[in-house]
Amino acid sequence: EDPNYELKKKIRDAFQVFDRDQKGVCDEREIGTIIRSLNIYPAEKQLQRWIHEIEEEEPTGFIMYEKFETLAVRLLTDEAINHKRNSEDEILKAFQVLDKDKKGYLDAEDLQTLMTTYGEKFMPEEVKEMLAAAVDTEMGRVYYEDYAEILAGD
Amino acid sequence: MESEKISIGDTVVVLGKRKGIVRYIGDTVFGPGEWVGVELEKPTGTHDGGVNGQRYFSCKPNHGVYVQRQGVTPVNSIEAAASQIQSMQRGRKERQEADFKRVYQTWNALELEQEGNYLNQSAANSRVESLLRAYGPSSAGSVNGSSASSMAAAAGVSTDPTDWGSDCSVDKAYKGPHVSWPLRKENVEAVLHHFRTQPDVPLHPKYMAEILGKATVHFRECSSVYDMQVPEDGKLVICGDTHGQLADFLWILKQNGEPSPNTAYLLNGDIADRGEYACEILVIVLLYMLLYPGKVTINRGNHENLEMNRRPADYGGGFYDEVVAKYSPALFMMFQQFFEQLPLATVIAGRVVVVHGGLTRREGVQIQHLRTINRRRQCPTATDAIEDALMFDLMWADPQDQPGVARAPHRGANCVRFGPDVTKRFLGVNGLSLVIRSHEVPENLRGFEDRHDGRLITVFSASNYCGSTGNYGAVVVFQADLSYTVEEHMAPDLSELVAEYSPTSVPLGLDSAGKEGRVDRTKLADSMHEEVIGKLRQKVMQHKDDLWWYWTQLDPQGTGRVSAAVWRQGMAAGLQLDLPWFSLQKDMVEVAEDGSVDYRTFLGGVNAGVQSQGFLQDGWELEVANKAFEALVSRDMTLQQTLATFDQDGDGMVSAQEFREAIAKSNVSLPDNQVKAILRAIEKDSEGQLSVEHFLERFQVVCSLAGGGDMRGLEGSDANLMDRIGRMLIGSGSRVQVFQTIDVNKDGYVDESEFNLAMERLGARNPSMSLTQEERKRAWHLLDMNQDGHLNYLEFCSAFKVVDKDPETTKRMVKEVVDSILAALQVHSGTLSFAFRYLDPKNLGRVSKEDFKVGMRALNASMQGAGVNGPLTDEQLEVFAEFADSDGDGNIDYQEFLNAFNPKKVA
Repeated sequence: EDPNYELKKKIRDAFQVFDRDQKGVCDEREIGTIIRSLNIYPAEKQLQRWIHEIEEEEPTGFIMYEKFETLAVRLLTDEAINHKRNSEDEILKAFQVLDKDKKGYLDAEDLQTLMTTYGEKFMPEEVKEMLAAAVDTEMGRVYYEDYAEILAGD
Repeated sequence: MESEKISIGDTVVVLGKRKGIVRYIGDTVFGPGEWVGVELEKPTGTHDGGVNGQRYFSCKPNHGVYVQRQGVTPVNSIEAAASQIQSMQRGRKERQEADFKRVYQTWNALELEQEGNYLNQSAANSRVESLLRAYGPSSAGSVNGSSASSMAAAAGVSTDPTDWGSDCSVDKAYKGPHVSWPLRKENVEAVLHHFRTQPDVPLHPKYMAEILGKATVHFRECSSVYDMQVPEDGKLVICGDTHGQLADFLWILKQNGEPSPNTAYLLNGDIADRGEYACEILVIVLLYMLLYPGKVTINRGNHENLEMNRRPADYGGGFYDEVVAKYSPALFMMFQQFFEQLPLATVIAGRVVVVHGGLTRREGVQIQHLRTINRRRQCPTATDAIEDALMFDLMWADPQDQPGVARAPHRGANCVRFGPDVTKRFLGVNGLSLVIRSHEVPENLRGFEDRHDGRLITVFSASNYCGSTGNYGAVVVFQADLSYTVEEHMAPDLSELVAEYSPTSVPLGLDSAGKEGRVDRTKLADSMHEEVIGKLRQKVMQHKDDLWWYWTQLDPQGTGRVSAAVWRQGMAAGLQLDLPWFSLQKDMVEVAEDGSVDYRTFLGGVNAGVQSQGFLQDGWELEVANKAFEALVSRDMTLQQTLATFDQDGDGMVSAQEFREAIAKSNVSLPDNQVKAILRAIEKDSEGQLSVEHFLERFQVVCSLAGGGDMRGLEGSDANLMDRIGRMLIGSGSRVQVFQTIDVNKDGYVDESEFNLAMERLGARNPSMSLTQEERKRAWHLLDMNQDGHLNYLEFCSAFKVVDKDPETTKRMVKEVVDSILAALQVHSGTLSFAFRYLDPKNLGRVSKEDFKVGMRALNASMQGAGVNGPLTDEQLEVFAEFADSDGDGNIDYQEFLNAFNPKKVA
């Protein structure tokens, strides 16, 4: 009995969504999505390191399932604590760092600047998506207490 | 929050936005408290370090700023906070994306499975056809490669397209647009305007028939490959599947302009089915085609097909229902004759080939071969002959990324996928440069996808397909130099377009993006997910026997529970669907803390929701189930003996498996599906082992006579007496037969002496049940309630019924038995429909009660031929026939009958 049997099933299900011909391979550009769909929350840099770790010696742009599975099992067991989703409280604290004046909200425009200037910068598309989901359209503000709950929730 | 420590030279963020380097920390004249002087990265400051003669540091002009200490944050904490939020945001977004993709794939897999079901049924249809042929020849339906015109001829529908519509005139009540010949541009535009503003008022049947007739003549002389040019100084617009989604087609016309000598159109098949406006799309396309011959054309798709169109919309069809609702079965046969003239592919300027499905499994095929395929028939479903294989693949094949040709079982029997090498070779051999095909929503849910190293394009035009998937639609637009662009869209609702075109209302000013951005993916995912769960429950119902068998084999203790992993394996094996069962499981079944699943409760929880119970008269369920109980009771003696041989230790308990074998050995004429259904009902309260005595005793024979009321209230010896008579009678085969031989004077009545004679004969066969003279006397007294000395023997024969004593288990048994029958009828409704249509060459939609039974029997027999028992006993089949003829006119509306067994649509 493999103690990780159920876990591997879950990993396989996640991988198969992006494995077009069901041949046990997928495009390395999809690896981030697969990893995140498994509720692992890495930094972009970290993600790139992982992809580098599991790609073929002569990179083909494709990732083989077996190697991915080994990585994902490790990430979901031994290293799970390092990349788990933040709690609502932790996310709220991060927003408070950005909210200099402790207003309880960020102006949409400010959030946009912050997200494209700092951290692992968002591309314009990504900001657009975040704003679409987070901004209270009437006021043009992001009440981040609500949004932290959304990010932390299911 | 406390301010974090900063020092001169640190990179900081000023007031949450501007980045810079700390140049000064300390008191200033600007105000009380600690101040910070920062040199900003960008010239967004107000000075160079000096303000009003005060200077605490120096920098480039417009880069300096002074702020109070709390306005400055070390960049590291901002970076960290931003990274953290970005990571959560990216995680959420991609998780949603993966979830959406997964639910879409599952939804699509079920869609394809239902569509392909039609192909898988063709073998069963062939068996039924050969059985029915023995009963009586008909050209009403044929499985493989027969032509619509022969079927039309049999149905009394004209096969001469120049004559279509001539037997019909337009009366004054008609409110729609008129069509006159020769066609003028203004006329075509008026019809287009009509559908833009009143899409629900169909064109008159006369005009519809005339248009189909002229279009049929137009294509009749063409080869199976159509040749087309892009107009000089103009363009050619290629549409993929539109599937009756008029909003998409109107939107495409709005975006690209109406067809004209400079604006050519090619519709790449699958106009019919699913959506509700295939007729209207066809009218518009065909009118422009007749107006500008050579500038507008249609390729045939796998949905321009009679059997497919006959299926309900939920099962991939819907066009028959649309045509019959708007026109008539006769017009449907004209549509079919027209479809058979449609070319299978189009070659543009000798360089680009456009085909609905894909390329073919056979190697070395040249365009010349495609040109000469005999297309004037229904698409074959067998692929043994090369000509059939080519035609089939052009309609049905899909591309894959792997080289070579592979089976595509997810689409149905015989379907294949072809790799990039196939595309490359085909283009090379034929001097072509590009393949354009449609047939599926691209995997990326755009309307367009580029594969096989750019040699093959999928284009699909029905946006938000079936109102479910949130995909974009697209068209490919070619210029005369064969350069092309792709235009994607998300069509607005039809009602919005109608409002836009209505002269009375203010235009909405729909922008060129249509509905883009307004589609809520979360909602779509939820509704697709619900649909998926609903369909899967339907499938569970249809495959209950297999699932139950699979799980009981892995549950030797009969606990009714298996591990979640076994549950998933069972679902995959039983339903033959490779789906993400792990993620589906949480919405289908409860997993206990120990990781196990109660499969009995799971199976018990899915019912055969039928659409309109009302079609069959009340009481049919009980009647049908009682026939199953009768079948058991009729053999109860032999069954007891047989069971005893299985019951080794004599404790009266046997396992479900032994019970099943006993039933088979005792010649109980009950189909396996019903045996299993009864077993499932018993097993629920017997923990896997059942008591033989208890089981057989619970069935009680009751007698009710039309003239004398119910005799259920009988006590003691009287009840026992009736029970024995009933069992002898039920066990003797056809009761009518028995009594006909006994009704010696053939007056239709049984008198006391005839009754005595009958009882003697039956008693001789079943000595343990035989009646003494006194008992016969007493029985006759009870039966002849009004003491008039005789009984109507037909009444007498049907008076004895078997019921289960316990009303609770009765309910459960009736439900299980009825569900198992309904499941079988659902699974085989396509074949049954085929059988009825064979028996109804004139397309009346009804058959006589006798023919109804013939059709049902043919299904039963065809299944026996395939190594399984038919789902119904002959007696149950009689019950269906009786209860389906609700108005008693001897005819049965089979379409309504079949509809009654369609799964309930998921709300």
